[in-house]
Amino acid sequence: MLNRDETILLIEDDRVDIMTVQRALKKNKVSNPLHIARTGLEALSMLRGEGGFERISPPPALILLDLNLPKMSGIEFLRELRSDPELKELHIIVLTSSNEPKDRAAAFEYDVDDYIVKPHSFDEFTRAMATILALWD
Amino acid sequence: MKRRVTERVLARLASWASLEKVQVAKSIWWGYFPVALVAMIGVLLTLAAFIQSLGWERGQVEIAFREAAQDRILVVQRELKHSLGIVQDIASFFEASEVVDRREFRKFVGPPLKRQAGINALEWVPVVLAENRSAFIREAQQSFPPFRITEDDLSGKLIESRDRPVYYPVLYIQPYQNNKEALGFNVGANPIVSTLLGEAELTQRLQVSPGFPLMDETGEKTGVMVAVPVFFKNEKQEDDPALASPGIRGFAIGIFSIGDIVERALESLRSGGVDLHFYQGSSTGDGQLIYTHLSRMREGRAPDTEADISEITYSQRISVGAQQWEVVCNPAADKFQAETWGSWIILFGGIAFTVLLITYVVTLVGRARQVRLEVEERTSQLWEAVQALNREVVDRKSAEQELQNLNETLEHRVAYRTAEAERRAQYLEQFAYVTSHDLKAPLRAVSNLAQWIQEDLADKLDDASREQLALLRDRVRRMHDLIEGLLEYSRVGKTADSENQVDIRELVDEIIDSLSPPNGFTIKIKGEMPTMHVDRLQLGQVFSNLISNSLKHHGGDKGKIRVKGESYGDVYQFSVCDDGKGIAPEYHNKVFMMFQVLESSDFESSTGIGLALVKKIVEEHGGTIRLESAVGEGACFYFTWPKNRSSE
Repeated sequence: MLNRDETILLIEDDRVDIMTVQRALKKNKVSNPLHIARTGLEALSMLRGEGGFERISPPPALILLDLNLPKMSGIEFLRELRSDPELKELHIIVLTSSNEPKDRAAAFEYDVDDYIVKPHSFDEFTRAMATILALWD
Repeated sequence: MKRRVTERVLARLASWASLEKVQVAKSIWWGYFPVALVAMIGVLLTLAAFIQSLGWERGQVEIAFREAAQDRILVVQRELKHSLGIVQDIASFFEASEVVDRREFRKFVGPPLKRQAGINALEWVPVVLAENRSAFIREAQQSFPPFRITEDDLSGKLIESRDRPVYYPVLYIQPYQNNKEALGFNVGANPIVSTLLGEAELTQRLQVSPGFPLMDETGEKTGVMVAVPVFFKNEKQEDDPALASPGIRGFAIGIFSIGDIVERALESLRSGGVDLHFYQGSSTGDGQLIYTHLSRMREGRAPDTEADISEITYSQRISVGAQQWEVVCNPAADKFQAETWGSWIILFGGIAFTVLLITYVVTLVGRARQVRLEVEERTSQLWEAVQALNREVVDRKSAEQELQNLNETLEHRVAYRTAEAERRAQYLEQFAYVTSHDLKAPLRAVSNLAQWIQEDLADKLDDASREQLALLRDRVRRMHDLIEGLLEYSRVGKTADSENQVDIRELVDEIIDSLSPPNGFTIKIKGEMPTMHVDRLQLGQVFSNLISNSLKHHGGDKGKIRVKGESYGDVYQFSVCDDGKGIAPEYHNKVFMMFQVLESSDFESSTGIGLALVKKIVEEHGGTIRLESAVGEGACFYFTWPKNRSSE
């Protein structure tokens, strides 16, 4: 379980998907602060405190990353993040609708903690989130 | 361009070939040069041999003739010497004796007269001076009473000699019978005899008179008189020769028939076909022909003047007393003709041989020419063949080039098509990706939103709205499944990297587990379930789809499903059979087509992709699939899977 004050960064461009994550967290009674970035660049700016964004400090305990993002894809974001010495240790869980093996392989290349294909059913998604968060240490 | 160069080369080679032909034609005529040479040499040699042989034969004949002539001349010469020598003998006889009487003379000349031919008369003519005439006559009349000195008068009548300073009366003469009138005849009265005697006295040796006609019983002959002077003893040497006349005692005289002597001489030789002509002096000029001996081979035929002017003659000078005679010999008409047949044989034989040689050489040359022509013909044939071959090579090369071009074109086309196919596959992949992400995401959103509305308005919604929302979510769900099915279908054959050794029985067990069949259904695995090298995921999909199909479409609460494996040659045949309601035969083909759903869409969730997917997977892996079923008798799906198929 996450500590109460630890933050989560969600990188997602789709509003419904953001809502899905928010509702799933709420259903699982996870009340940790949730930062939301709509693109990979925005997320990087927030993590580094650049471009008018307030730096998330301390860094988020968990990053939930969608792969299909505008401007900078999730994989590109991962490459950027892992090459940044200050940020390369961050924990990341990929949340994606892509079940493509190449996407999966690319993600694990950058040492992500988990890879979750967004299930069609919200209940299933909620359960999957619960499992992940419950097992988090 | 390449081809034009080749043609030019061929044309040049062809022109060389025609040039060669002209040279060959010329040299073929040159081939007859040996024939001409052989003919020339043959004819020349033959002619040379002929002429040489002819000359040699003529020479032989001439030699033979000359030898024959010489023999005859020698014999005649000896005979003449012998015959005329009698006169000398008589002279010697008188010189040796003071007195020779008539009887002694007769005895002395008797044997020669009998032995030798051609002696007409042998005489002793003393020289009687005028003052001794009467004494001489008296002495002569003692042994021969009617003796007197006579001479011819102008009319030719024998008369008593007139008074002369010197008389030359014939005192003795033998044979007497034919010469009675000559006894006492003063031979000095005859001018010819007088000259002869004068010469004899002057030269003191045997002299021969010119020929004169001589009459005897056989006719007219040519005779000569031979005189030898006899001098008184011991006066001959002392006296001046110019004043010899007083010392002269007399003359031994012989009258000879030359012809008889010659004939007698030649009797000893076989007839040889030689005519002899005797000339006193030279045969030309002032010489006198005194005798001609015609060859006995003529057998009395008269000499043919023309034939006797022979090319062959032989002449020889002989001495008769103090005279020089010439004997001219020529062959009798058909004698000593050169026997030229040998030469003619040489001529004709040589020509015949030459002709044979020419024929042979012509044959040789002809054969050589034929061989040459044949060689040339063969060469030209070969040349044509080579040309044909060259053309063919050129054709082949161009054909090859064409083929290569075609191949390249084909390769290009194949490459292009392949690239296009790959591009399309990529496009399809892209399409599938887009579908999976861009279609599924909104659907998920719709589904979530519907659920949240349902949850948030749980208290306010009536049953109808609640059911509608549930239907909405169900249809969204079905659409999601369709999209998933399409994705899977499009992925078949693209994931070839996952082949492993798979225990098929284990795989099927897992699938059955995951499908969690409802109570009342039993699934049994039978037959030979091997462990083989396969794409686990795809073979799993096949089993999964077929088994779930059987469960879904069984149509009853209870049922038995049997999964079976069998080995047939190089394939395994797997089957999934159920005891459900079955499928009517008219639908057997349709079940494998996409989106063909045999039941109402309200009933169960069925995408219509499952069997199409199965068929595609099986066929992609080189197998076949078929259905055996009838209404009410269950359904059996059979599919084959190759045993050892190299991964693709």
